[in-house]
Amino acid sequence: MSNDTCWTIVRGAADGDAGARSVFARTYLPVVRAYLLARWRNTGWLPHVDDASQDVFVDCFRDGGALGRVDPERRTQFRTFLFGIVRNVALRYEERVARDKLRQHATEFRPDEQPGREERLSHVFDRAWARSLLKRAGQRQADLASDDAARRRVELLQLRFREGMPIRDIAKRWGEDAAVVHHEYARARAEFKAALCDEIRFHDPQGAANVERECETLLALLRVDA
Amino acid sequence: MTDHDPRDSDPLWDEGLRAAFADGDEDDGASGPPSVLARIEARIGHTSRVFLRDGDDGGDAPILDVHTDQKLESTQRYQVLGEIARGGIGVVLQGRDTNLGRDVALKVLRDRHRGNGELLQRFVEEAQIGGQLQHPGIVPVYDLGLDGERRPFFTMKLVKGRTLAALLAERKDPSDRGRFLGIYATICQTIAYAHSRGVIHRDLKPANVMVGAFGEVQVMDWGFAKVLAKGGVADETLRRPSQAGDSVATVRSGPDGSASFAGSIYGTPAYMPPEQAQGGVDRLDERADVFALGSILCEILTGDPPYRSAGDRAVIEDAAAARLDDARARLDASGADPELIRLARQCLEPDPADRPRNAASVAQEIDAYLATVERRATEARVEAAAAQVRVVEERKSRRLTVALATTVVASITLVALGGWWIERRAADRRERLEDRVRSALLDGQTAAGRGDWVSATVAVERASELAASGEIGDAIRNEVDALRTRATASVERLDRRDRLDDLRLLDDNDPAAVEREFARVLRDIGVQPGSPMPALDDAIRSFARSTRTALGSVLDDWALRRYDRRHHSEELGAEAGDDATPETSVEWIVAAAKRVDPDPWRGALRDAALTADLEALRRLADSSETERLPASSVDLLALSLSAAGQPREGIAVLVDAFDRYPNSFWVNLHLSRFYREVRESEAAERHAMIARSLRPGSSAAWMELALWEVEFGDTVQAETYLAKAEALSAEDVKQREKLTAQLARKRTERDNRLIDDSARRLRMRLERAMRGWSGRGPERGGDPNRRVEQLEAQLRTGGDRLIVRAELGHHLVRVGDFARAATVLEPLMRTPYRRDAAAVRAEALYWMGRYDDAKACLRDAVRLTRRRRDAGPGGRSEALRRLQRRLDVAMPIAAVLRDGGDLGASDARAAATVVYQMGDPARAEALFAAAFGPDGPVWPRTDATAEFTAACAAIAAGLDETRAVSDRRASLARARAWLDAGFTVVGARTKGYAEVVLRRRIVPWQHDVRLAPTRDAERLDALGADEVRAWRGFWRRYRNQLARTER
Repeated sequence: MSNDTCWTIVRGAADGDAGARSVFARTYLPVVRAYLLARWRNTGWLPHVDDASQDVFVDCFRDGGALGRVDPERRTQFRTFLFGIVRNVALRYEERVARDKLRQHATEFRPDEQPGREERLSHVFDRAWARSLLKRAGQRQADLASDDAARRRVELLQLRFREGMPIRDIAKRWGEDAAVVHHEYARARAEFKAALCDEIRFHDPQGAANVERECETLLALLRVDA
Repeated sequence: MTDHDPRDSDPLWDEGLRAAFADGDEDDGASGPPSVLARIEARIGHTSRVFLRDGDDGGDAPILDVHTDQKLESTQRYQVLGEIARGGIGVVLQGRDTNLGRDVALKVLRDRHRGNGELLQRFVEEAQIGGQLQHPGIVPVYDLGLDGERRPFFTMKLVKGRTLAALLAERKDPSDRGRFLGIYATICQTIAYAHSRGVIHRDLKPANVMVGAFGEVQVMDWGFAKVLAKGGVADETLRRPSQAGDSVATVRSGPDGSASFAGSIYGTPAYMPPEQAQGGVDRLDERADVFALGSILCEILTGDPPYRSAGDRAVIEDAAAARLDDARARLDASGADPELIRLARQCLEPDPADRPRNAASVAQEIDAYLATVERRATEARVEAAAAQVRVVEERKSRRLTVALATTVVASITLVALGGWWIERRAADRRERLEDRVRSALLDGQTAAGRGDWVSATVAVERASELAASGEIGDAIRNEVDALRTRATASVERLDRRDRLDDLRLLDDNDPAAVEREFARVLRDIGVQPGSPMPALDDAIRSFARSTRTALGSVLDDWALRRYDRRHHSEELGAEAGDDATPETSVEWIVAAAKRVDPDPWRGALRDAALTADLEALRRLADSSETERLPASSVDLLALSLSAAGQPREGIAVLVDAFDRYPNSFWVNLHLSRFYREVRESEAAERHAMIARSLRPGSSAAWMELALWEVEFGDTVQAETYLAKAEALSAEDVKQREKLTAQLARKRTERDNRLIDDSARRLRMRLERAMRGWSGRGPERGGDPNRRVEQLEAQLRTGGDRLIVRAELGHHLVRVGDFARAATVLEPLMRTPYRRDAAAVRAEALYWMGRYDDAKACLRDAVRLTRRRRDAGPGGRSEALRRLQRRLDVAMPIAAVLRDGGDLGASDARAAATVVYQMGDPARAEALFAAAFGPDGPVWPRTDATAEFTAACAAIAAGLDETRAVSDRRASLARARAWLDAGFTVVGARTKGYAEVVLRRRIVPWQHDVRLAPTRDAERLDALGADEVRAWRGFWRRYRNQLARTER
C-alpha cells in the first residue's frame, strides 16, 4: 500500500491487473453505492443500484473505458474524477428510462422518478468519500502499528471514539496514570493524522505539499449538509 | 510525531476520528459484536457476575447440546412504545420486541447515572438476579443490552394488572381480607424461593406486588435485591457507595412517604425492619424480608403499614427505633383470627433473632392457616349437610310418630299435613330445579365472561329449557332472561361481524355477484344500500363498536373494488360497467363509510384511495397519525397503496402496523398475501401462520397457507390445507347450528350457500394458482418436460380440453419451447381462458422475436386483467408491465439493428437479447460479452436473466455446426461461465432467499429445451470427450447444489 498511489492502482486496474481491480473496487464501492442510494432514494430506480454500481466498474475496466482515459499528470483530484464517472452512469440510467417514456408518449410527471437534487448529492458523495478515507486512515494506522505500544494507542482511539469512554476512565481501566494516557492519546492522534496524510497523498500525490490543508478540507467534508 | 498535537480537542478532528473508529455503516460486523457485559466492563472497568446458588427444586436438569452453533446477534430489536414509570435510578418503558412480536417492559438506567459505576453495577445485578430467579411469582428478565446511546437496559415480561397497594387502597373495610390472604401466601412463597437461591429483596411493600387480571401475583422491582454471602448476610459494606445519604426513589415508589433510599438506607421505611432503617446493611439477611412480610400482613389486616407517622423523616425515625406499639394495638383490634395476629407480631419483632427464620417459615405458617380455614369451611359445609339430613330424618320420624299415636289427630290434620307434604315436595323439586338452572346459568356466565358467546348461548338455552320445565324463583328466572338477552345480542353482533368479514374475502371473478352479495348482506344486517343518511344513522345506532368498525371496513372495501373496476375500465378504454351494474352509487358507499366511521384520518384516506392520489396516500402513510390508528385503518391504507401499484409501500405500512397490532388477523393475512406476491416466502409463511393461530377457525387463514404451499412448498400439503379450509366452512355451520333455533335456521340457509360458494371459490383459486402463470406455478412440481408429455398425452386421449391446453402452454414457456407454446395457446384466445392464455402467449411471442404479435397479445392480456386482484410485483399486472417494458426496449433496438444505427453502451444487454431472439446467437453472444465487460458479470446483481439469456445464446452458437470447432468450444465454455455467474448471483443471498430463487432459476435451466443439447452427451461428441466431460461435471454441480438447498 505504501508505494502505491491511487493512480498506480487505477493504471493497474486499467491494464487488467486483477489484484489492482480488486483493490480499486473494494476501496470505492462504498462511495459509489452511497451516492447512487442517495440519488435514487424514494425513486423507482432504487432496485438498479447494484446494476449501476456494476456498470460503474465495467465502465472503468473495459477496454477504452474511463480508467484508460485518465491522465494522472493532469492536476485533477481522483474524487472529482470518480464522481464524474458515477454521475454519468446514473444519468445514463435515468436518460434511458426517460427515452422509454418518450417512446410511449408518456407526458405525466412522476414524482417518484425524479432523482435527488444534484447539489445535495455531490455533498453525499463528498461525505461518503471523506468517511471512506478516514476509515482507511484508521486501518492504515492499525496496520502500521508495529509494537505493543502503538497497538495500544490504536486501542486507545477505539475506546475513546468507538466506546465513547473519557480518557480518565480509560486510564482507570488500564490502571495507568491519567496524565500518561493523555500523553499517549496525543501521540495516537498524531499518528492518526500521519496516516491520514499518507492516505491523502495516496489519492493526490501531486498535492503532497498542501497535505495539511487537504486534511482540513477532507474533515470539513464530513460537515457538509446533505 | 511524539509531540502533543495542538488539535487534541479540535472538534473537527474528533469528528474525523469518530468516523474512522466508530462502528460505521460499512462495518461488516464480521468479528461480531462484543457482549453487553464486556462493553459495560470496558466502561467501568469491572462488572458483576452474579451466580445464584442452585435451588432445591429436585427436578432433572434439561439435557443441553453444548456444541450448538446457534449464536445470538445484537440487533435493534426493541421498539419503545411509551413510558410506564420513572424512578430515581431507572425508567421503565413499554417496548415491543420486534423479533418475537411481543410487548415487553424495558428498564433503562437514567442518563444521569450513566457514569455511576456503582449504580451501573447494581443495575446489571438486578437484571442478572431477575434473569436467574425463575418462579411464577417473579417477573422474568428476558434480555440485557445496550441501547443506541450505549445505555444499559434490560427487558422483562410486561406485567398487566394492578399493584397490591392499589387494591388495598380500594378496599372499603380491612375486614375484607379473604382474597388478600391468598395473594399474601403467594408473596411469601415467592420470597421463600428467592431466599432459597440466596437472594433478599430488601424493598418488599404492596406497591412492589403486582396482581394480574387472572389473579397471578408477581413480586416486582428487584433493584435493591442482594445476593447473600455464604454466611447469610448481605455483603454490602465491602463496596458501599461513597455517596451515602443520596436518596433516590424506586421506579414504583409512591408519593406517600414510602420512597426508597439508596446509599446507607435501602428500602421503604414504612415497611422496613429497624436494622435496615438504622443503615445496618451489613446485618441484613432473610429476616429483613420477613419483617417486611409482617408489615404487608399488618396492612392487610389493619389497613395501614406498621409505621404511619406523617413525614418521611418521622417514619424513618419510627422504623429505626422500632416503634411498633401502634401497629401491635391495631393488630389486636383488627378482629382477625388469632393465628394471623400472632404471625404478624412474630414477623414484626424488632430483634431479627425473634422473627421466623426466613420467608419459607412464614409461607408455611400462612399456608397452614389457610388450610385450617379451608378445613373449617369444609367442616361447616359437612355440618350443614348433616344438619339437613337430621332435619329430614326427624321430619320422617315425626311423621311416623304422629301416624301411630293418634289416628284421630291424623285424620283431623291429614289435610293440613298432606298440604304441607305436597308443599315440601314441591319446594324440594323447585330447589333441585333451581340448582340445575343455576348450574347451567353459571356455565353460561363463565362462557360469557371469556367471550365465548356460542357456548354461553348453548348454556343459557339449556337453562331456559330447564326453567320452562317447572317452577323456579323470579330472581333466577330474571337472571336467565338477562343472560339470554345479552347472549342473543352478542351472537347477532358476532354474526353481523362474521358476515361482514366474509364479504372482504369475496373473489372479484364475478363483479356482478360481488355487488349483489354486498348489497344483500348490508340489507340483512339492517342497512338499506342507497338509503338517506338519517335512515342509515337509525340502522347503525344499535350496532356495537366492533360491528361499526367491521361495517366501515366493508364499505371501504366495496368502494375500493368499485374504484378498481371503474379505473381499470377507463385505463383500458373499455366500457365501464361491463361486469357489474351497481345499484348503489360509489358516492353513497363512501358517504356511508364516513358516516359509520367518522374518523377524519380515515375520511382523508378514503378520498385519497378513491382518487388514486398516490402522493396523498404516501403523505398519510408518512404522517405521525398512523401511530395511533386502529389496525383496520392501517390495513385500508396498505390495500390502497397496493391497489395504487405500490405493494412494497403497502408492506411497509403493514409491517409498522404489525409492530403495534401483532394480533390483528387482517394485518397478518394481508401481510402474508403481499409478501407472497413479492415472492418473500419466509415472511409470507410466518404471517400466514400467525393469521391461522389468531383465527384457527378461519377458512381464509387455511386458504392462505394452501396458496403459500402451492407457490413455495408442497402441493400435497396445499391440498391438505385446502381440505381443512373447506371443512372449516362446514364446521362453522355445525357450530352455529348449536345456536338458537331461529338464528340457526336463518344462518344455515346462508351458510349452505356460503359453503358451496366458498368451496367453489377456493377450489378455483387453488386450481388457478396451481395452474400457475409466468413462473408462479409449483416449483417442486417435478420435471416440467415430463409434465409437458403428460399434458400432451391428456390432450391426445382425453380430447381437446381447454384447461389442459392452457396448462400445456404455460409449461411449454417454462421449458423454453416458445413456438409450440404460441401454437398451443392460439385457439384459447377466443375462450374464457383468454385472460391467462393472452399473457402467456405474449411472453412466448416476445421470446420468438415476434414483437408486433407479442404487443397485440399483450394488449389483449392487459385489457382482460383486473387491476387490483392482479396487483403486486409478483402479480399478473406487474408481469405484464415487465413484459411491456421489455418490448418497449426491444422494438426500437430491433428497428436499429434492422435499419442500422448506433446503440449506446447501456443498451448493449437489451440489444444482445433482441439479437438472440431475432435468431442470431453468435452475434448475440458477442454483444453480451461486450455488455458484461472483460471480467464478465461479477458484481452483485439482483437478477440473473441476462446471464441466462447470454448462456442460451452462447450454447446456440456453440452448436452451430457451420462454425469452427474451436469457436464452438469457446462459446460453450463462455456459456458455462455465464451460467455459473447467474448461479453466483442467485446463490449470493441469504439461505432462505437462495432456496426460493434457486428453485425458480436452476430448475428451469435444467429443463430448458434450449440447453438440452448440453445435457445430451451424444450431441456434443463431435466436440470431443473433454467437452462432454465438462458439461457433465457442470450439471452434476448444479444438481448437488439444488439437493443441498432442498435438504
